[in-house]
Amino acid sequence: MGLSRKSRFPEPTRQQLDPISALGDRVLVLVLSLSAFGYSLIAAIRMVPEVSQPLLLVFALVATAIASLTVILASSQKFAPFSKLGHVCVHLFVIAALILMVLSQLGTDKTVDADFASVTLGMLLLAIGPYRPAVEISTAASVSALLLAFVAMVQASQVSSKVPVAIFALAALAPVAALGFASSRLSGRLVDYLKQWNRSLYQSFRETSGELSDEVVESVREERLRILESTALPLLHALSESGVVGPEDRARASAISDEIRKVMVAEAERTWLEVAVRDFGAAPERVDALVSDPKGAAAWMRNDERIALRALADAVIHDPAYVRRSFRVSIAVDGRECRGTMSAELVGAEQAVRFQLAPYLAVIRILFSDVEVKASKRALRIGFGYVRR
Amino acid sequence: MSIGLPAHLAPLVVRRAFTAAQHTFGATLLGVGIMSILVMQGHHVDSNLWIAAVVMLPSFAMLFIADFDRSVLWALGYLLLGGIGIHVSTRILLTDGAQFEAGILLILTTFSVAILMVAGPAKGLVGALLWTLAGFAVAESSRQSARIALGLSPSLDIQIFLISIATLIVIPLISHVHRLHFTAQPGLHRALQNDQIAQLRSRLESRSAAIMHDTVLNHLATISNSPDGALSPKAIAELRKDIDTIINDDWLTEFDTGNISTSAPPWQHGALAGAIRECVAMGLDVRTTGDFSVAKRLSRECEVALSQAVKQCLVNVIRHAGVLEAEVGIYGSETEALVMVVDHGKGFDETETRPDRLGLRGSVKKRIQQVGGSVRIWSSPGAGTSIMIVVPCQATEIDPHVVDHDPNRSGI
Repeated sequence: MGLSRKSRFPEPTRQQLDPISALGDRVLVLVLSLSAFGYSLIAAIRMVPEVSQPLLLVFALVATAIASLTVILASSQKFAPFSKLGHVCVHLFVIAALILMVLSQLGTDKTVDADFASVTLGMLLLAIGPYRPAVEISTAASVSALLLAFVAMVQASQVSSKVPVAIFALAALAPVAALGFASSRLSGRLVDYLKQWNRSLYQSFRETSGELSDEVVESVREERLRILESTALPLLHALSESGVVGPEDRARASAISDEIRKVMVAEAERTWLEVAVRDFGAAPERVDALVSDPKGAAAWMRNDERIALRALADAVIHDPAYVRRSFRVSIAVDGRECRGTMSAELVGAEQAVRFQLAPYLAVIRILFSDVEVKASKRALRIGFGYVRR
Repeated sequence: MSIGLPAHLAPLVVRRAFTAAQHTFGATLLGVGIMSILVMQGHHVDSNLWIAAVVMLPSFAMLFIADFDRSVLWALGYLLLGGIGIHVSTRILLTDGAQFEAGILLILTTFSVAILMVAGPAKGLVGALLWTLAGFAVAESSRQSARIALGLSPSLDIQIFLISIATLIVIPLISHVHRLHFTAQPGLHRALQNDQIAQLRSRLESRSAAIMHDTVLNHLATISNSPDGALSPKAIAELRKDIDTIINDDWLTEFDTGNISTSAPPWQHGALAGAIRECVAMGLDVRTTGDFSVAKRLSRECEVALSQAVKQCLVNVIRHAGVLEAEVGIYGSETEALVMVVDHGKGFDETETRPDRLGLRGSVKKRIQQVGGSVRIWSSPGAGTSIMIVVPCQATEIDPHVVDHDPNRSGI
């Protein structure tokens, strides 16, 4: 999440930068996708008198339905993030629908139908705006607009009309180009605003951290002095005063040295995850009974992964339905691949995954790979993968 | 991932982004409409259709201005110019372009829809909806007044009507905030803040561990290995100095700049030179190579971390290498400083180092990692040790002192 480092997403989207806000886009996606299909259905019904191959018209409608369904599914939290492949599929299915519709009227058509596909695709592109990068949307919209214009010109040359063929081409490309570019601008603006917001947020956090840092410094210093005052400092003081070393001093120095080393080694091997779990107050017993991370792989997570996992763990542990001492996290390492598993007993885990934990899982799905969520009536198990960097 | 927008801010930000999208939508449609008129003009050379394109150009320009500078004035200006443009172009197109039938209707629809996308500045949802209604009212009244002026009966363009309805539906939907947003966003904010505090704490703990290693543990090791009897005055002085450092309130935050003569050339100033001097004072013969002016491009934090790490490497040579000679080379690239500490001592096998040996691990590696650098060690028993430390530095500046300096002939 730190902005000082290079972004992990070369072309970020709103869904990647703000997965929780993207949850709110689902209603719009459903309305636009269903409207797109509804529009093509009405267009198909109006074409029926000119249709010579009804089956092809049905296939065209199926292709449009698949395109709409692709947008609905690809934008869902479960399949997040919306992939480039999903985006390309939407274009391909709508173009296929248009070609099938044109073929269904082969020899009998009296009108040019490319504008139907253009409006349908345009509506779907508007729905895609928060999920795909601006450049990708505008590039794909341009390519599709040209294809639709070409189909319109071919069809227009078969239809007798006083209107120039180029006008049909412009009519065919106008909706997809206008809505596609609008969607691209929406995507780009949302990302810009999010970046601006983050800059100011991190600035305010830095200022707050500055205020807190004095307290943290003092706390660390006191902790260190407490250790030293009960061990090394009395001996060192005494020796600096007397200036003479005896056998007892040597033995004591060696013992104190070993003791301090043990504390320092334990501290050096402790990862943020163990510290976080301890800080959540979830571990009245020993921390390593809850976190199994023998290779310290938690330290290899990126800032944003760490923060998302911390937020999820916090949400699980502080859920009223959480069963105390049931929280476990383990991280296994295979080369550069790390596989984590977080589990907890949570009464009504199935509901929790759908409701109160859903936003956190949306974030986890964006940041980690191969996220698996298993929830039963009482148990929650979340698997996630990441790569050592 | 970013931390995301808070729920109260999200609708406002999304509506502002959608405003820009509406302007793009409108501008594209105006462009297509104007191009369509020019195509028709090409097919009907004697007509005055081009005037219909020209009268839309001011509104096209005004839309860019309204998009660049979001103010009520520009938005109203767009509505005014757009309304005039639609009125005039409707009259021209319906008279001079009547033979193009559907094409003319398409152009008029694109112009009207473009005016719908006025999206003037509005803080609330109602304001955003009112601008759309205003756009619809202006576009339709301009079109209908032109039809009446031509003696035609007013007729509702169903496409414009439907697109207006669709826009009025999309505006509230696009700024819809999921109710879970209100509960989850504070959770992420809290996680970020806690993470920052944890990171700060971890950095301080590592720094204190390194300082403890360099002071307390070193003294304890010296004491446990020293023969019975009096400590040397130098050892007692060191001991007192380090006890004072530990007890001092600022030992975690202050940087030891060392006692370095300011009469020395610029490259001999600073913590790195001071660290090498201290080791020379301990009896180590240190040969320096490379360009020590690179140290001037290091941030204060990097310089201190580097000097403490180099000192620890040299102390290790004195303690463990079995030789009293070492070489320190420093080289700079555009963005990095590279320091090599080389000795020809007995070397060691890193994998066999006991986990409680914290010198290289805490005082060198962790220290350097905390300032964004990296450490690599090449060593094997009997073959000496080479340690490469890389830390980030500022871009190169051309400095006459650096150009004139021959580091190979200058000792510290």
